[in-house]
Amino acid sequence: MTTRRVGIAIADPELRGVVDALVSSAPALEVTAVAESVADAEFEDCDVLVVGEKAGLDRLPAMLDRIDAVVLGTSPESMVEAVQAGALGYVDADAPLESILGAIELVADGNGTIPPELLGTLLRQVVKRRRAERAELDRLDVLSPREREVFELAAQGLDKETVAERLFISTGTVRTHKQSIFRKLDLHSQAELVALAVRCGIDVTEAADD
Amino acid sequence: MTEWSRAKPLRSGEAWTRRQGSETAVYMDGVLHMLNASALAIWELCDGETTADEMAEAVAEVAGLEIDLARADVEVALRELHERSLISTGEEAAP
Repeated sequence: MTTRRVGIAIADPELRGVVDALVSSAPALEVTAVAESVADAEFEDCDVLVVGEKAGLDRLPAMLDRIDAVVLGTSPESMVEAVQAGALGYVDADAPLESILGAIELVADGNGTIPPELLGTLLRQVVKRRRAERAELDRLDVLSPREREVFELAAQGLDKETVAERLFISTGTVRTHKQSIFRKLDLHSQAELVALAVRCGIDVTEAADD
Repeated sequence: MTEWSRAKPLRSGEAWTRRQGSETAVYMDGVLHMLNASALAIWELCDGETTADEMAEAVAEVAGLEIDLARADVEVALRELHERSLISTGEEAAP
């Protein structure tokens, strides 16, 4: 039986203690890091992270390429935030202890879990978010195909020279396209450009060179 | 493309509901139905505004499924809900 290493990041000291004791009682789980917040401890060696809703959910996306997370929360809103942050599981912090441990064990085995009765709520939020993204994407219809390419590369933070290199055009042409983009979309800064790209659901993390 | 592709399904009316273990009892027009979590979630999305495609995209994202598989699952759910008279096909979305 493979032992899964569990990190615990929960702000509430009592709940943190209870979860620590609960996980320690499970034969296939081992607590390796405990902290109030995701930022307070080193969780790189953990297989699973149990996170309280006030322990830094905004830091989860950066960690989830190497660790799975289950979030303990108290509201449908925190469940939606957890899933959209990439958590594999969500369980109500007030659920019976066996349900909390069951959720941790499921995520430790690589399975997702959310309370079935909250599935409709989650799907509704995703529909709403995607509609908002489509509405923002429609704004980009005013751009030419080339301007759209420049927009997406600029949103990744690439400088003019790199954009020019990627698209096989001159830096002067990149500058002209960017001016047109800013004018057509009524943007006033690089930050606004990035914010619009994010709202459109465009990935703004810098892509590696092919 | 199927009959559901551009549909905006609508729940047939108000229903009495109660959770019953892993399922939910839905009582409508004198008939008691038992829906599992997935069917209930799809039924709850049938507000006359949300298209079957939008439902499928959400399911694909939440469940980590390929969109074609999510679309097929959603259509199976909608067909069953329709057969039980729990939803109507509603208006069609514009092409």
